[in-house]
Amino acid sequence: MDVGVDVGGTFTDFVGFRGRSVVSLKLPSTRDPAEAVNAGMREVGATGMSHGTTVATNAILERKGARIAFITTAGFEDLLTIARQNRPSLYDFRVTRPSPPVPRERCFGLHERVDARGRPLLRPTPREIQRVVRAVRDSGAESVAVSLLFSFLRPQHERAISRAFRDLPISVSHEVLAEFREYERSSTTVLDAYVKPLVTRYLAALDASLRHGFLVMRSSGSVTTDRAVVRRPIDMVLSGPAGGVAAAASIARAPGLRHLMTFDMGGTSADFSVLEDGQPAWTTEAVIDSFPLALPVVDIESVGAGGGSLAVIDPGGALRVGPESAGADPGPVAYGKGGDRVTVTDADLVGGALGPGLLGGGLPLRKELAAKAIERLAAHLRISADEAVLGVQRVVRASMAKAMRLVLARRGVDPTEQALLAFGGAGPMHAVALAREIGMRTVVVPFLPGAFSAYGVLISPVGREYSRSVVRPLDRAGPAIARAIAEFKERARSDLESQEFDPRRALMDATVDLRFRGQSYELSIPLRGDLAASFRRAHRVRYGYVSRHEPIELVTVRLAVRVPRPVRTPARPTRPSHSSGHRRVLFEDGWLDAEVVHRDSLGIAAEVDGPVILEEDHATTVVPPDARVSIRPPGLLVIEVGT
Amino acid sequence: MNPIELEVARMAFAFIAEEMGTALRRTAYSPNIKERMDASCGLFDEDGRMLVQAEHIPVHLGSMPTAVESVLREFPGTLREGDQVILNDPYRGGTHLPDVTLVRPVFVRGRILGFAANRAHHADIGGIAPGSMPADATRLEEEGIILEPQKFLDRGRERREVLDRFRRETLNPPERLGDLRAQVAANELGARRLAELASRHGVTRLRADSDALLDYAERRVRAAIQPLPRGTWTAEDFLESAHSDRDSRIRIRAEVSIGGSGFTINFAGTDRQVDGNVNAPLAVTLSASYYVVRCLTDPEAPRNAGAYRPVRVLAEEGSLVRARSPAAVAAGNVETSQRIVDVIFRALAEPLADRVPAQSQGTMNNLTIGASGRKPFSYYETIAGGEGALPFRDGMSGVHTHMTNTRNTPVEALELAYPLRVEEYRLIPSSGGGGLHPGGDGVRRSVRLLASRGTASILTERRVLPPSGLHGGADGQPGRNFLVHDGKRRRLPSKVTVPLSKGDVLILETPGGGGWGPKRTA
Repeated sequence: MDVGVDVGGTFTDFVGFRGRSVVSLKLPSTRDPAEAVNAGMREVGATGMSHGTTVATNAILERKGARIAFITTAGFEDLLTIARQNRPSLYDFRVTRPSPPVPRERCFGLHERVDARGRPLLRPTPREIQRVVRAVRDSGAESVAVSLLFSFLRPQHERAISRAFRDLPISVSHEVLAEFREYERSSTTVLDAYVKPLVTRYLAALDASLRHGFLVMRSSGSVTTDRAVVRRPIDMVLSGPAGGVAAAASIARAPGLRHLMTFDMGGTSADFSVLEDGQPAWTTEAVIDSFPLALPVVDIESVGAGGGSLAVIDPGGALRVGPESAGADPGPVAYGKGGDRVTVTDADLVGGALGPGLLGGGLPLRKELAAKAIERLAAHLRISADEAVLGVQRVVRASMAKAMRLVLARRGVDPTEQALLAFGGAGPMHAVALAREIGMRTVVVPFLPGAFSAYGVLISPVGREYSRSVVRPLDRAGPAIARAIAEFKERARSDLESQEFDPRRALMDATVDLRFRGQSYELSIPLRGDLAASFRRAHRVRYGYVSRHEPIELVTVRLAVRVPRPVRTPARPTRPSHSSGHRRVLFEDGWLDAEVVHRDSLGIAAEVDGPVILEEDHATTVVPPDARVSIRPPGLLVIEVGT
Repeated sequence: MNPIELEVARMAFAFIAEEMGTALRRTAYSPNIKERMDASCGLFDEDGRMLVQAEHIPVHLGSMPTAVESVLREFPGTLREGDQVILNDPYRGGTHLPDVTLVRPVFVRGRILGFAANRAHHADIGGIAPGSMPADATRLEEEGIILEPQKFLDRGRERREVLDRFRRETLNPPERLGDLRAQVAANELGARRLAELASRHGVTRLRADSDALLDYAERRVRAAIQPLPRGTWTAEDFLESAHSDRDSRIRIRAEVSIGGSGFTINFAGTDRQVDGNVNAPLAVTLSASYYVVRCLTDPEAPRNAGAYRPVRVLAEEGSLVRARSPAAVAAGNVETSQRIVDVIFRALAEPLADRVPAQSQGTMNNLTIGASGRKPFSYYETIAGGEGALPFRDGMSGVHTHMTNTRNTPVEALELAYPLRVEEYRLIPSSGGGGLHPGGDGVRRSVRLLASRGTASILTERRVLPPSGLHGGADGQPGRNFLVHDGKRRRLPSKVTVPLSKGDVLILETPGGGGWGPKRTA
């Protein structure tokens, strides 16, 4: 059985299929993440694995990557420090730029130069190469990053210096990201080198238990083999939330659900992303700990709002929730592990939205402790306990609403045409109220909402993207585009074959980034038909106007390759209906008696009016008054949110 | 209003300003807005009180309300639904000419509820030098087209008179109009959102929310002022030139009081306005003053009019920091604003020793290179330098400080777009002043002209007077400007417009930041 595994900060999730019945498991994550993964794989009896993990991300955030050296064009050795010359906070002197993953004494300048047309102005001599190689070796580097100016136009100089490092892990900018903007390209290359030794070790530890290798989640919402990711670990650095988005893409095939916003709310944060016409939105402007990662990744907005987010009163007397979190230890007050500050989970518990336990009863909650903490908060604020519960919920919603509106604004998307797809432990609980606030009419809660990311990891297609900047006038760019695409396709075929996938099943999607000469940002246009006309059309849509005479410039050629994998969905539950009773729940209009039912007891086509609480193993869906829920294939809760 | 409603309202307003900024950046045309993010957006109530602002550079902080006040004054009862007023006149609501501001009234049931406004720095606005930052201008009209407040949109329709001025008098009209339309769209969005809030909550509730948020911001700033020592302190510092042909010392003096009512900053004793472009309109002086107070009190307080109630600024009309028409002002915004910050911090260096930084580079190192003729181009950017060290950390190197935070143009983007080559771009080791915490290092950026000829304008400061260290820290190294022609290197003054020929190299070395505290001896 193939299993999708998603390693999170708190839990490691496993999802697989035996026939159409789901096998799923949730284990606490371990200090060495491989331990929990290997244990879970044994427990479910898995023989194959697709794996999503944040080990690479954490290595960067915690500065636990390799001792690396950085080689760039002489005269530009401080590239990583100067960055884009801006500071992270306008007014707060306590905030400073994080130091680059490679200190200045391991940044080396190579005397060489290529100009903006790809002509060599200064070739690196063998002696010069030797000098730099010796300096790098003397520095004790475990891994090397090379990024020279305009190497995407003429890679020879980067190749010449790279050849001297056969015995060390090396990341070369024209291979990692053959695009212009030297800081972004260098940063991406440096991050790749920084995590390479660690990712190699981590994957090797998993590989030992899986004889035939396995697949690894990438930041762009596809998977690749463990062998390929060892060569390009940068591809997995922002893959944490990509599994959920990939799973959403499989749901967005259904009619009426092609325009989705994903809402993944867990213990410490909530992630949002948009799918337009079934396609996840990508960005090449991602940032990790202020370092750009300029590869195409799923465009996700994250906000520090989750079940563990803490409620605090700020110096001006306003109630704030998050981004500080109680984490797993001590966790919410209700965990009874010594936490004494109110979290969202405590408010949800006292307000009745959340039942008496988490993890299917594996983690009992102590409501009386949470209620006392709420009373203390209410006394501080001079409001009633009920108002405090609703207040915490409202404030955490407002901060999520702000992030959602930003995602929508960035994409220019109208919320009324979007459905909100809610998952993660806390997402389905807050989704309807959030949708109402934003003006969305429909909420969808998928099957396996508590392990939806692991499901996404299991079904994501195999994929890879290729790109190169070739800046020139569009009317003379035909041969250059054809050359680049032919080369990308050849590389894709050989990459796929070497990973034992069938290139004939691959879907190849070619695009070009175009702009008017003088503009600094580009629009991605599918490579077919009259490119100039398509670009002008797209420009009018995006900018509201277009110039007929301005010359158009080609900037970057791209090819995205996808080999689909089988998408399985869980069979309809066969277990008998079992209503678990009633409980009092605090809604905006006050306390109401709500029916509590198990999700699986709802039949297809049945419609149930709120207030009702739907429970399942790792999630609770709240359907407030005036909302109505029904089930539709393949096992989706569809909630019309009403007003 | 209870603490929950307060927080929800705060986020709703904050979001609208951010969304306007996102829309502006998404649809703007020029690198100046998209890449360098030299733009700001805000919402105002019907009396022109700022409700919220999202700015990317602090020099816009206090200067936007002046624009809205000017619109209120010049269009009493004559604004209609769908109008947008355009302005850049520094003496009627603007700052310097490249900063173009658009203000849109928001109507609900026929009455003005408030205003959406945004400001963006345009790469060229006409005048006697490409890039509209000439070093030797003495009168405003030499710096570009002057737009007194006038309707750009009249009930939703663009007025041809305004468009024609941009078409006739600026270097790259398609880019200008592209940016202007992005500005219009951002205001339309802001106006729609504010009207939506009003229809959801009602106008009365919206007004109550606004009042409560202004009070809240004021409370936060006052809470941060409360523990500060009371007293009055004075300091002065100097700009080093107004012109290419002579060094001078132009005095800025500030008396800063912290008392029961907050901060009072009095610029009495500052020199009169000068024959040159370093004059600052009052809006710029307000921005610099508000900036310092914000850094020293509560950097997280909402950016609305309430946050600045505890700040009083006194400046004499006709002085350098409250210039009168028709003085040139291009460098007031970018250079003088930095020195005003230096002076206020210096005054507070003793009483607020735990938080005042040593002096940062104190200049934006404005560099414009351009050419008209068969292949016209105009390249403008500001170059980072050293940050002054703080009592609790070292200064950052190669970074923009205080009143600006624009990003650089990538070397590869620059060389692909202009007939220029960057030969060197790195830090100058040890240019930051030494100390317990050393100041950040300055930057050397060398640019070679590949076209047959061109013109460069350099507007810089701190080439003579170094950024000073604090509490025993050493001064930062001053910057230097050079021109290499025919293999010979020649020193250039702080402010200059020079002709360039093919192969000439301009070298800008930016100042290092001052150090903080005496160096520990080992």
